[in-house]
Amino acid sequence: MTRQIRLSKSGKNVLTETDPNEFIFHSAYNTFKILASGTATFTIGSGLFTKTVAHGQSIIPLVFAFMICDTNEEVMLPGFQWFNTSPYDDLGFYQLYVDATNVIFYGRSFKATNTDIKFRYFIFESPL
Amino acid sequence: MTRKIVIAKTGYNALTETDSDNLAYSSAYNTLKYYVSGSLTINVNVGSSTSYSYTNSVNHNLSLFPFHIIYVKYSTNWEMIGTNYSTGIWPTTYIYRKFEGWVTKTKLYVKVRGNTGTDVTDTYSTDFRYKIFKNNLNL
Repeated sequence: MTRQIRLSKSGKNVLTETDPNEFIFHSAYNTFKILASGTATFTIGSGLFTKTVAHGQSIIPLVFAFMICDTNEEVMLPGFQWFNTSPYDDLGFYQLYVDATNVIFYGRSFKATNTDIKFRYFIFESPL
Repeated sequence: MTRKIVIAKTGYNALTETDSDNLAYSSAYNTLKYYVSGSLTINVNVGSSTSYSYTNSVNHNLSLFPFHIIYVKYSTNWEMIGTNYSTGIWPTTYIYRKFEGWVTKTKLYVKVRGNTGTDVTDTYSTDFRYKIFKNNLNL
């Protein structure tokens, strides 16, 4: 018999429960480990931008990232083009990529002057 | 020596395994702390030659920017938010739809926006599913 370590949610029987969602932890299922996380700040001019940060992994990892608006009031997911309501209509975080070396941020500034942009990225255990 | 809690997958040695993928759990690695999930809906009913933007939101009240994931249902597919669709020919039968999401320190927002051409209207309902984690983005 394979031994397991299980922590069930309150009200659930750890010995008989079969739904993985009812466990806080179950050793039969891998956890989605965060191998690394960091922030990256860039100064960009007007127009499209492509910025990179090295992920330092030997494989192409699963990554996720967020960008904070220059107003410091909102944090956007990839795929965000612009806020329609002024004054938030000036930055977009179009796409997030990853290759064997880098996490890649692609977007656009509609501002006429240089802008500091900041990302939080996560590198997860599972390779793509 | 740093003490760790390590639970290896079946067939692997928790004391010697170095590949994190072969560990069911290791206290050496952070994980996402699931907080809450839910759904939001936005209904769109616009006439021709219209540029529109509709937003819906839910409070999370975490007082921080949380890690979050949002999916949107388009047609029969559930997909990560950020996608856009267009049909028809500009400027007459053109229809454009875009789905976006973001968070503040108190709320999660979803938005649909788009345009219609001179000869078409657009009516649809968009369902969103979100997951919010307690992990602070520290931005």
